[in-house]
Amino acid sequence: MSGVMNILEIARGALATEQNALEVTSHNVGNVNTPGYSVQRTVMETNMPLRMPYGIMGTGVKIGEIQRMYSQFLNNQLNTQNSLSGMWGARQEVLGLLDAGFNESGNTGINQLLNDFWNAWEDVANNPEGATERKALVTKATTVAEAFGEKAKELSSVETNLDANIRGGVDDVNRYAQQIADLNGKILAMETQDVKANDLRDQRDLALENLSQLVPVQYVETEQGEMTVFLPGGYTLVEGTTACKLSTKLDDNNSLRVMWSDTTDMTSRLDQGKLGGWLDLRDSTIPQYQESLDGVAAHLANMVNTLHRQGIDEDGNAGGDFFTYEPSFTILPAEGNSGDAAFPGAGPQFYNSTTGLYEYDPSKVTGDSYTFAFTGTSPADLTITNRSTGLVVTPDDAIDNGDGTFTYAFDGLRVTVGGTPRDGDQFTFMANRNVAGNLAVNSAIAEDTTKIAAATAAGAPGDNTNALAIANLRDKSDETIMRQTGTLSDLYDAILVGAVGNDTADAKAQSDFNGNLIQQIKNQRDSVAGVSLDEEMINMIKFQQAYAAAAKLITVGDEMLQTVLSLKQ
Amino acid sequence: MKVATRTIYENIAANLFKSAEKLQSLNENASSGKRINQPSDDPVGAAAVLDIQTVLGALAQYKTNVNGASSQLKASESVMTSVNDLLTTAKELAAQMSNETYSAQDRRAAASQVENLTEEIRQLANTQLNGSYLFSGYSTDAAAVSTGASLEDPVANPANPGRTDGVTTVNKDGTGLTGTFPVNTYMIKFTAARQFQVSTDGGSTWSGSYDTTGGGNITITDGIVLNFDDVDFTAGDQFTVPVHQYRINGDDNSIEVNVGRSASIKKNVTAVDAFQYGSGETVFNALDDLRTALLTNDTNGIADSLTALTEGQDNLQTQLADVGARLNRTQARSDLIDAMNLQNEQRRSDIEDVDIVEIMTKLQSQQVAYQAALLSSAKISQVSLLNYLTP
Repeated sequence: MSGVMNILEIARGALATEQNALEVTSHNVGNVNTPGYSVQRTVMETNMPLRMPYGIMGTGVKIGEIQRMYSQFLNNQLNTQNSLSGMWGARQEVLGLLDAGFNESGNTGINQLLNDFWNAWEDVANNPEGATERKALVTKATTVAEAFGEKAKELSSVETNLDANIRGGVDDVNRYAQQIADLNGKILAMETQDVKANDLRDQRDLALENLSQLVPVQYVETEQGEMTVFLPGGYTLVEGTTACKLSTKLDDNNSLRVMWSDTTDMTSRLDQGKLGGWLDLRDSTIPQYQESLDGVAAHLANMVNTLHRQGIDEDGNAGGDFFTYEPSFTILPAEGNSGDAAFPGAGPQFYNSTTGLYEYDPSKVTGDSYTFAFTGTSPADLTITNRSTGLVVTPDDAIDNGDGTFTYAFDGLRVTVGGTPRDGDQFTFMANRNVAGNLAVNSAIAEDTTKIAAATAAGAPGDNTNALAIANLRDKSDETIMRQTGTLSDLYDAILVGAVGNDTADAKAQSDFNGNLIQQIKNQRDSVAGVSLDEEMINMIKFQQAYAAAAKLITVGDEMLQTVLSLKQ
Repeated sequence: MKVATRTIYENIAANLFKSAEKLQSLNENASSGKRINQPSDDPVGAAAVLDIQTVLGALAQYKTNVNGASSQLKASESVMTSVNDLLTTAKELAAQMSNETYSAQDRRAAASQVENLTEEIRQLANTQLNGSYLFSGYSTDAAAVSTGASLEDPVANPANPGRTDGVTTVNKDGTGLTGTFPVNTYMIKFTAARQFQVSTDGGSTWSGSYDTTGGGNITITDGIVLNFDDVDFTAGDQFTVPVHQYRINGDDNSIEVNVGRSASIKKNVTAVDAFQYGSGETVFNALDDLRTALLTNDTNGIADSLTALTEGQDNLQTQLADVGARLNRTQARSDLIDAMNLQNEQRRSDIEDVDIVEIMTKLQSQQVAYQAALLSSAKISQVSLLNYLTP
């Protein structure tokens, strides 16, 4: 219609529109600190115009839509960086703890204790008949062995704590996934062709952001507006209103695995996010440190034991072992093995191939761990590689037992292999596992220091040649552990202190860099989607003015109507 | 570009945290005095510091070893110098007594003096250091010079008119000897072609009657067994059986100690080194021979002893020079170790320690920066459009 009624109608429309716009503005102001909130804008549109004889007459304003301001591109960038930030943050946190524990500048670091140990042997060499020096040697040796044990305990407790973190992380993932699924349902119910459920979408995006901190995700919005979320490898986490659960399970090797739908082992696919960080630390970084520590302890024990056995003690008897050497032999399969090779019988054992006795011989045992690689389908097709030197080991014996199993003797060890492997199957034989944790001075020597073999020939109390030889092991520079060669101290410094220091510094640097990047992205995103109180204040003024003007219109229209009505008396 | 309200506050928070973190880190450095408090602060530096720590630990031990070696060498040197002086006295006595003007009486008196000298030297050779015998090599629980008689083949006296050979000692190593050595001397004199008598007092009195017909072993006094060839001797042939009263423990092992990386020093002198010379001759035997010659009034024997003693003393002096050289080496080593210690401590300090002045300056400026950040954050949060809108 036209005329005064049109004016009133337009004014009514304007009042309603400006009021609604103010409502939206107040919604923004109220949510200025809500995490994940995207600012909403009222999009105003002109009403359908009327065709009048004199032209096209507009009919005022209406609300087109309430638009949610967001940038999908920036959101996606943020989520990608979140996964990285979660991973580096997790690494920095855990490694930082280990790093602090390797503070060697005092007198209690393993480097200094090893020094004290070699010095104690020199003191015995200075006075081989002295009981004081011998007792001091036992004390220093015990201190060093205990220090190795403490470090091993530290590493293993970090590993256990990581399992707790992983369980917690999986619970959180499930929680966020369920949130997304629920929101999918609500959004589907609330939305129509033109109307979007802005606040619910904000909540869903926030849940996604939190999820991306934990695991790397990919997501896609369907035509209906539902968000489908994928884990790496294409495994669906959320589809429609269903969330597939992740769970944890202990496998045969007592390792906690993350399972998808209780059927598929996802552990190696989760390579980013906090879960990825914790899993990588637990399955790769910490085991590397443990192997290094065990390697150093094993080499120390074997070096000293070999020479000590060759010496003569104060009673004229041959020296025994100076350190106890007690590994927990473990054979771990690699992921992706398709055959069923087995290690039957008593498992790996100490074996002296010269004497045929099942006993520990420090001059033969290397103290390293090995890789078993199968090149065919028979236990005979086995290549054994030493993990420290990287060299292939030729076994002393490779006996065909005639029943489908082969027995290999190498480097003071013996293991029987059976079953049907496949070409490419690999196993890690940890022949020095737990040596550091179990390292101790032989109790016979600790109780009776006359059993320390300082001499090379019997009956000569002043003979210090064996003690000297053992003291000189300090400078023996051809030991090889974890592909590095040097003296025992050099190796400890490089493969443990240096490795932890470098990894930690790396994680810190990456974490800082990532943090800055995320801050940048957030700033950009918030410049699109964030609430600026200044902006809202300006809008408030704008809408308030328009409201006042529209109210004035009604007054004017009313007066006009009064004028028209008062025309007839 | 629009700046959202939460951006402002998030950035304020982030920057304040960064500033506080820097402050905290500088504070840690200042209070510990070290630039490297954990390996991640400087992994390369941390590894270098550990390397230096290993070197310093070894150097401290080498110092201890050098000091121990030095004191043992000094003790040995002091003993050997005393023995040298005593040998000189013995030589002077021998030279004196070879002069014709002295009588058998005088020589017997001199012999008792030689006996005292020998005993004194024996005691010196058995000096102990901290309960271990200095000159015994590895056998530190056994005396270097022990009492144990041994014999030589009989020596013809100057007064011997006929055969000077044909008789040897069977139990040279002292088995079966029963006498109280070294009190006696043992002389035999032939009274006929195959008959001899024995004297145990230097030729004053003769007793016994032994028959060498057919040759073979004959046991004379105190378990000494002599072997005679089946030959005739001349009446008046005199022989003396040399008796040695002390044995040297044959342990000649060197005791080495480490005084540097692949550097070791021998810290002992053995009795074999110091008191034995030639092919098994010892100064003790030479002194015994001198004593025997003096008791038997044998001027040739005295002259021979003088030669032997000279040879023995030369050997001792050579050994003494060697000890002196080794002492010099320990001193040089000690100085070197001190220098290396200083050097390495310096290196470590350069890498690990903070420069206090630098740190305090940085700490001060970081504090100011932090305060500035706090101030500006406060100011920013106060300013907003709301302050200027009148209701």
